[in-house]
Amino acid sequence: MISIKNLHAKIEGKKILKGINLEVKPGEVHAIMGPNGSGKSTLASVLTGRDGYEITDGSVIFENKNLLDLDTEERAREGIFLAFQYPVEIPGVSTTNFLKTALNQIRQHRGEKNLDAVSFLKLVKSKMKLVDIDQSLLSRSLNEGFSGGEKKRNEIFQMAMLEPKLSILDETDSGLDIDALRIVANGVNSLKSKDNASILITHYQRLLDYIMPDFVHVLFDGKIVKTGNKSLALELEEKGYDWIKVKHSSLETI
Amino acid sequence: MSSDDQILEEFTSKEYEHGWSVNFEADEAPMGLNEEIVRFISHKKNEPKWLLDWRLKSYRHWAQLKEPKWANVEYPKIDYQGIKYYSAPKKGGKIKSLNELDPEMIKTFERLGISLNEQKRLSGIAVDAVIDSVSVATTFKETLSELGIIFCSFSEAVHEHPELIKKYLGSVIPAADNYFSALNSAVFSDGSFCYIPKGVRCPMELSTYFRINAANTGQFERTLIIAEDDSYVSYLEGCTAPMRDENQLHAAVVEIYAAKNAEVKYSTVQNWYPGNKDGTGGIYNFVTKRGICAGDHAKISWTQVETGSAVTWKYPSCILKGDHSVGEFYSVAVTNNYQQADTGTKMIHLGKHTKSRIVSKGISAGKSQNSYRGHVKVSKRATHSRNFSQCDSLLMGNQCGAHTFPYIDVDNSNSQIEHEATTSKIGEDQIFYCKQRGLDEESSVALIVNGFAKEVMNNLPMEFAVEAQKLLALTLEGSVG
Amino acid sequence: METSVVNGIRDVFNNNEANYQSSSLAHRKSALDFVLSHNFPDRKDEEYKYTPVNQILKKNFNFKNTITSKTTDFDFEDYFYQLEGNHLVFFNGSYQPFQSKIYNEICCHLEKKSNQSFHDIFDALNVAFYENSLKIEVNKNYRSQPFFIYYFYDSQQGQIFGNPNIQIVGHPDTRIEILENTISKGTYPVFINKKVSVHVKTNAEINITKIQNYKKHVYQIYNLEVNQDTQSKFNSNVYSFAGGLIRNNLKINQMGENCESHMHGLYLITGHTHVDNHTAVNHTHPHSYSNELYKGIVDESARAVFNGKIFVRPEAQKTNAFQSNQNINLSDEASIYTKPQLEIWADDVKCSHGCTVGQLDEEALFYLRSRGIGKNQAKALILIAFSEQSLEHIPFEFVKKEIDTLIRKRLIG
Repeated sequence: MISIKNLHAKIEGKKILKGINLEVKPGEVHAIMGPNGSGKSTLASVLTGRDGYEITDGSVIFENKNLLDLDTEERAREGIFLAFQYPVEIPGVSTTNFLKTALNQIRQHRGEKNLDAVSFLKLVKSKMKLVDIDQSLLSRSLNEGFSGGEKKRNEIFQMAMLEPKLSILDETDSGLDIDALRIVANGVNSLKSKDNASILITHYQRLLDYIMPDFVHVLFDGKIVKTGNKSLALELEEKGYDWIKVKHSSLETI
Repeated sequence: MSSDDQILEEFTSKEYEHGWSVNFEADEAPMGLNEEIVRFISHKKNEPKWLLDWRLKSYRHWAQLKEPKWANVEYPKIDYQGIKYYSAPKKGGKIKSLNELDPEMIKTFERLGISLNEQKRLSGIAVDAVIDSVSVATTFKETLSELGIIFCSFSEAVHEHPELIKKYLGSVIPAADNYFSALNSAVFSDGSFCYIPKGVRCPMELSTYFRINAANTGQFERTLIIAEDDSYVSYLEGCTAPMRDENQLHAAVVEIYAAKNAEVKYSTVQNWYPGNKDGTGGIYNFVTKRGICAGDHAKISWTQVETGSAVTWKYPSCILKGDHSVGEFYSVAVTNNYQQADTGTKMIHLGKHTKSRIVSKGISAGKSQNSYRGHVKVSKRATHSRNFSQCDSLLMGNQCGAHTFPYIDVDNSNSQIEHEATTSKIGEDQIFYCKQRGLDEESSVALIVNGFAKEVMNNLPMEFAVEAQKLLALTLEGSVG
Repeated sequence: METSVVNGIRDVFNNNEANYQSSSLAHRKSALDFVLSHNFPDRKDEEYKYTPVNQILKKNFNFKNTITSKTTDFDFEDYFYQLEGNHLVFFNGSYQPFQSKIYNEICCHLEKKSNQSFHDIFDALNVAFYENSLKIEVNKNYRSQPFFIYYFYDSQQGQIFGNPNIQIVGHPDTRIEILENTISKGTYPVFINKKVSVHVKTNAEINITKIQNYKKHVYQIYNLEVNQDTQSKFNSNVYSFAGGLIRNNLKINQMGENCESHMHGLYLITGHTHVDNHTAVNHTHPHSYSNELYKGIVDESARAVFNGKIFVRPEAQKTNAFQSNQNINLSDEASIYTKPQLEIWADDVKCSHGCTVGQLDEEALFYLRSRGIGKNQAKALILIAFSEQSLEHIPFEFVKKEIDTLIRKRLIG
């Protein structure tokens, strides 16, 4: 589905990504773990086309298209979804209104007809249950005055509505209590299919207790330094990131 | 809301949508202004002597006044002798039924999205259509008259209901009130008249559509709304004009009289031609609008969406004379390219326990200047009065300006006045968030701007809200990026 | 201007002419011409709409009847604060070097140059009439003590027309603290037309605190103009308690990046006191900051006017500007006119302004009374709490106390 090769990126002249290689196939769940500042969120930003990042080398092929050539909204319409770590507030714009606009632009891109009000509402109703989100929340201004948990649930709700091929969840677990985490994870799990894939970006392995990854990658200093399965996450939990740091730095000095 | 979709669907047309003109044969006054012209207009309209005298008095007063310069707008000197003060479509005149209307004219209104055909009844709105200076058709008249509601052109009212006109004309805005109201009082050619009798709730929205068509003409219409005790009416006003290279003057007067317990809602979507990208052409919109809550518990509410005109000078105001009366002003003013808007309101608290609320949202883009000017006055007698004002500005780019001039005068010790204002821009992270969900840049901006203006948009009648949202998006097109 | 006023002003000038340095005469005369060819502002002037100086002067003051008296029974030193610092004395508008007690000799001198520019009628009036100009200047690496400026007016013998003129320069990396107070004697009217210009150079800081507690026959116009260079800081605190007319014009021009301006004001007025604060901040460079808070309690037949202007020019991106004016009106005979004004030409800025006119918070009053506090005491407590927020920025502890005492005296009686 997505093939990232030797990806290098800079922000304000500072090298952050230093050769990322990652291959994600349909139906897979990949977890990317790493200490603060290792480049996890930069990877999410680069894949979604946020301004201010300079790609200095490498390629990203998504469904046979050169992803880096596309604008942010084109990538979104092709099926890339980012669940933001810090979802932004937009005063006066309701979630429903926002999603309807987004969904119809994506549908137009696919050559599909706009959804009429009735079918849209039906869709909303069916997806609401997934993340246990309240109707009243959807009619309020987007993310304005939402609690941390409500914001994250709203992100997953949007993911359910837009049915992306590849979802990138950026620190979705941060700031969530166990109940909220469970609700969010349930949502993600029930959206999983053989045709879509997800990348979970996380600092702690806690989320992985609820969402079973097929692969766990450790990102350090802009590179994936280790790849394994769920047990790698547990090992990290036990030993901490220092273990990787020491190991990796010693590799460099050799 | 389905309205947003419509905006996005129709987002593609780039230029000023209503920028065509139709060749009617017009009956015009010669260029220039003098007492003869005033007599000519009065004669054309077959007016009684008292009205001619009123016009002449206004004209003489106007001739002594100087054009006001205090507004935060700049425009070349207007040559008042280079304007035609009367232009009527020849086939207009007196029309007994819509079948007699010039088919060209019916087409004109259909292109504007207004149906004059009562059979269609699509929108359920009674419309008075004014082309250039003359009211050409009023719909739903019979239905309304069953309830005792009078809704007709101003000229018709002069003949049919002279006692009402005599009593109320100039009672809220005296002819000598200001330069442009004096000019209007001298040369106004037509407009709408509306009378809601005691205890009647007007069952449908009443609406006037104004269109300037002829070249070199000024438009000087006059609207008078009278709401008797315990009555209610919601009134809509829409305006368009063709694209022309020269500037055209529009100096209207709207007077509202609300008696005890009456409520009048007046909504405007103003979309006069704003001039082109380089600031050539466009309408000078110098309008005086004022309502008086004459009786206790009366309420007047102004809602306006201002996207058009090269220069706007407009302060819909409320005189809160009756105790417990309420005045409201909700405004969205969008300026782009070289547009200039100086708009706001006056809330004059005279009665006890009077309340007013002001919500003004200004959006400036391009090289435009957008000013809010407001005056909240609480007189000594207006004890226990309340005012809340909120003025927010959104700037797009750093070649435009946003200005706030609120005057607050309080002369008693138990009234509560609050004024808040903020200035902001559209956040890059907001746009990125929208784009990540698949919206293109322009839809993102339209969505965010409509969110910014929502509090005001919510006060528009549904039929107008859709149009207003589209206008907002169209006006700002190409201003980001 | 009316002939009688023109003649009055001209007479005063002719009487003083002999005292002026001959080199300054031409400039003074051009300022005088400016004055005489203009009118004192009245209701028709937007900037003086609510403070029609022309009418106020006409009613209360006559240039023809002014006297120039050099002698007084004032013992200036009695009024000096018991603190180390520079104690500078002005008498009837003119600086008195020999009566002053100066700690930092190098910092205070008489300015010889007499070509000060003028922008309006009061500026020009001052330039035409000031007797001498005090220059306060602190150089880099020089630690100065605070400057206490006392303005004495003695109108026991006749009407007084005073034109204090001060120039303050803070050179790079210096800090200057100034406190101004006014003391008067006599019952004849006093018209004070003060002009102070300030230049805060790179990385310097200047604080000016003004106490305005005049007698009711004192009419004052105060033009304070401030120019700020890069990374400089300017603070103004003004406390107005009484007077016939107090009009403060504060104009701040930020001429470099990272400038910071703070403006705080408090007016507690009763009787027929008329206080008018007009402020303007001009942001012309990026990353600048201004913060303004004026609070007022207006009682009896007093009038308060506030007009704050914030200009953010196109180049002044990333500017933060805040402005607030809060008023409590205690009397139906009192009036409050406020106009907070924003003019913004840059998009990446944070600006907000707000103003309120209200009464005593009845809820709070009820709460306090329900706890057993008497009505008047409760009222005073609330008003004191409202006022004291404006004391936070005074650099001198003892001034805080003095103003606090004035507040309590005014509010508790």
